[in-house]
Amino acid sequence: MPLQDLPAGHEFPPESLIISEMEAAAYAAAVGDTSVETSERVPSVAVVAAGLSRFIKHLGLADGTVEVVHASQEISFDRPVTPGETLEIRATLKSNAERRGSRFATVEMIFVDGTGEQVASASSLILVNAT
Amino acid sequence: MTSQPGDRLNSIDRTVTQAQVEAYADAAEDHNPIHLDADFAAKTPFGRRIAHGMLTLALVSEMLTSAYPNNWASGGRLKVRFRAPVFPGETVHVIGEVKKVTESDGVRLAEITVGVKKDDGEDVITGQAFVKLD
Repeated sequence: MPLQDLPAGHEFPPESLIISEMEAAAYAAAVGDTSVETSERVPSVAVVAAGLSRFIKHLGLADGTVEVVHASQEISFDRPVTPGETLEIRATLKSNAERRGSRFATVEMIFVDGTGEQVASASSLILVNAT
Repeated sequence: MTSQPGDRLNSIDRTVTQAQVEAYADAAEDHNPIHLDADFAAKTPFGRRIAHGMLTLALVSEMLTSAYPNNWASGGRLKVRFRAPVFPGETVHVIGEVKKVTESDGVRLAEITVGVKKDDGEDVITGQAFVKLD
């Protein structure tokens, strides 16, 4: 469903997310991050980046028909994520409004592990403009 | 550990390249054309391709991971605004300074002012991070 048709409070179906050791290493190499041993730990922000990319795609915002700008970001980390670990993303559209011709949407994501414990959470404000 | 008000975290200076943006797009599975398609980007208000905001934010997390190897990934919090885009070829400077340290229930928490700036001082990212010190 297009973003403009989704009400604030809409809950997306839960999604599985696994970041392999190879994907963690590719992410670290891309951002130039040598602060983390990616065979042991996924770079902290990689989890949030992967989740956000998915929901931008699900909302039909990644196909070039609109301009998407990332306006703000909040993140909390509860514990490090291990490569290959299965997480579940529980995402909610917290706000969705049009102002002065731009659409402002906030996606909140909670990442939980196989036991249901939260490992991270994030809230992303994106701005969408027609091209 | 950087734990007193006024302490500065080790800064990071990095030039963001288009090759890096493309590698990031693959790694994060974010292929939005504003980052990759020069013709598309030319029609946006930015006029050319821009780096992913999350790529630039990763540099802030790298700085915090280096300063607080365990406590950043376990209990760290971040709240930032993206102020300006980074164009491939630009060099950015990632900075952090402990603003204050509070204590609650025996746990010390550092509030750190974080930011990313361009060579000319323009703010790219501004915000705060919170890290437990104990």
